[in-house]
Amino acid sequence: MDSDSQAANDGQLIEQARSNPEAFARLYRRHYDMVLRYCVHRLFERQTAEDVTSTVFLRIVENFGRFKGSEQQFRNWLYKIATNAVNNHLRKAARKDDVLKHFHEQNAGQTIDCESSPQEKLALLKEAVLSLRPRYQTIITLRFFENLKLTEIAEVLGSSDGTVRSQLARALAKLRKKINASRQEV
Amino acid sequence: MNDNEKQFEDFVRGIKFDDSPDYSHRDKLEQDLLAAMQKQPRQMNVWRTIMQSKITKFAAAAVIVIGITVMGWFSINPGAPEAMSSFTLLARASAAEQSLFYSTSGIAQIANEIVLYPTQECQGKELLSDLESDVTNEKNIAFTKSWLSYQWIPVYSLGADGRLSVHKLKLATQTDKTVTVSDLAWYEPTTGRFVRVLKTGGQVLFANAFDGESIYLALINPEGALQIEQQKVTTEFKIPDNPADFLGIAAGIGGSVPREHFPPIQDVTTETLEDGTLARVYKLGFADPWGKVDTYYLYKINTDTDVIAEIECVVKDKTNCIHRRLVTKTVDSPEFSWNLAEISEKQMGSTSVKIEADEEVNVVTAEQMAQRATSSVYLFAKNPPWTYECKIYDLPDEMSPPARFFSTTYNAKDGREVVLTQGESFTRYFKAIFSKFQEVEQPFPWTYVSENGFKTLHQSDKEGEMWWTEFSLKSSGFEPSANRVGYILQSPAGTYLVLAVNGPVSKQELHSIVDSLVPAEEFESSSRHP
Repeated sequence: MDSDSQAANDGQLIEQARSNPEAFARLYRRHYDMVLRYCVHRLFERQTAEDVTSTVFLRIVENFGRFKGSEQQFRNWLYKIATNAVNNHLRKAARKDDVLKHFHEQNAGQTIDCESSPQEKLALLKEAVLSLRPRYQTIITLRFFENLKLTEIAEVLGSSDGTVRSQLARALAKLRKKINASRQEV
Repeated sequence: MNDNEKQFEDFVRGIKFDDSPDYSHRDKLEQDLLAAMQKQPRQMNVWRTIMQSKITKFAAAAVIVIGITVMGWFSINPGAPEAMSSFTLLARASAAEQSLFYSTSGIAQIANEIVLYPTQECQGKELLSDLESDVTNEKNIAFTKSWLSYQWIPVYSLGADGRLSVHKLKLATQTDKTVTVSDLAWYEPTTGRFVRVLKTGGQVLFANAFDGESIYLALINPEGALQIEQQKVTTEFKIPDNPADFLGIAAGIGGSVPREHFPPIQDVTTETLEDGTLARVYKLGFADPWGKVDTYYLYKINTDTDVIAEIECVVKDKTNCIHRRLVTKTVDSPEFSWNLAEISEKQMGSTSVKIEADEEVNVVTAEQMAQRATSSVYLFAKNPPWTYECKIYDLPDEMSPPARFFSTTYNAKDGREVVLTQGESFTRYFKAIFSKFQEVEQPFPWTYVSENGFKTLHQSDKEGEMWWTEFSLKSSGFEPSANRVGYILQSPAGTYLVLAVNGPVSKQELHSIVDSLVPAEEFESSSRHP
């Protein structure tokens, strides 16, 4: 199914889901993978991502009655709620510090070169991304792992295209610096 | 895509994430969601619910309870109870109490006791932390109720200028024991001399007296010692016509709370008290948003004499304290000297109750405000031009000790009052509520963003302004007017302030005063602040 027809179907489903639990379940199943994937890409941990995904959909249930947007806005709304849930999780659990500490312990003595394995790259990416401000993390994830356009990211974040563009540039610069520094360390 | 983006895309290409869906988790979550949907009585947004629900009405009412408590226990009347208002009840009880002091040519002695039941004073603090972890409407209401019905009993003293001051009687520490405080008063109607002593376990906690020339006030200081102040009365001094205003069970009744703000009478029953007295029992309180009245007063009125036999304060269905009449009689001399000379010898160690002096509420300067604050605090750079007087009150922030709460009040030339309230608890509360809102809605609907970085929100509903407007005005001693307005301000430092105006405010006036906010430490003494 192409994205337009999915959106149209979502539009009908959204209306039906307001009063029909079965329709809500269908809407949920249609978007579960997307939300889980986004959470995994933000948190780098499968188990935590599943927990946060649960939180996201519970928030959707709590607030679904007041969602009045279009089909496209529904997807953006999901990303918005997922972003807030992830950021809350990172903040509350001081996740970043724990993750990085754990990462350093795990990777002590390992060498990473330009030809690093995908597994090593993942570890490197994790450290670099989680060291960024939450907003930069969100932009990086939405842009490179969810393949959203800048205008779509701007809609999710309630910001302008120009702001997102400049924040993306800053986030990439920081990432590059961080990754290069990690490579030099080892 | 520029080079940087391409470079990063190359780097992440080939990285494998463990992001394939686990259908057992998906299906389990689906069941949970459907169950959650069924539990929802209706779809609602927590933010909207909080901002617009009946909590506004209830909380405003709860503040009024405090207002009345501060003004004093109010009174009662006999007659046709079903048709009687609490205001009438108050007036009759005050008159009946007054007659006790004048029914003798000798010295009237009135002995009461105040029984304080174990409470969890930190409950409000815990509820705030709980609210911060996850905002729900229920948690919001629980916290708001707790905040607004902070538990202490007012004790009045008469000053050398003839004015009444309020002190707070409360449990000093968390305790699982019931504490009884004796409340003893002697009054000589021919001279106006009086002495009032509160004591527990032999230790005097508080005393106030007039020996015909000087006023004495005795309080336990923070070091645990009884401190006695003696002041010659001033030329303005005059003993109140009704000694029941500051002595005995009905002290403070002569307050100025408008009759429409008294809690309604919810129920009237008859009861035989422990000493055999037959009493009519009036239940006075406000209903919460669900119609439940779990915080209220029981006024027990002696059916023969019409005086208050007992006041029971119930907080969340649990008895918080009882103020009970014991003895009223005529004596030849008071047990304590009019000049309180012997009281200090009776002092013994610390107790589990305390009476805080009203010095806890201070009028401070901008400089002192900046020094005492634990986070950023703000003032208008200059008094708004339409105001003529400003005071900064410094109060304890009960929910976030040892932080302080600041209430800056301005009186307008046209009779309006402006109050700027700020403190750690407000910031914690609004931060929690706003973050909940931002989970589901962006951008935030700010009403006005000033050049100096203050974001202003004005929300109102058909039931009137939000509770914090009432709270700010009432806690500053102003009676909220029907056309009051309130704003929540987010400062550049992320703290929250409430701006309440007792009257209409033009857009121009609002912008002008918000634009002029500056950190207290940057406030220039050349301005017209104290």
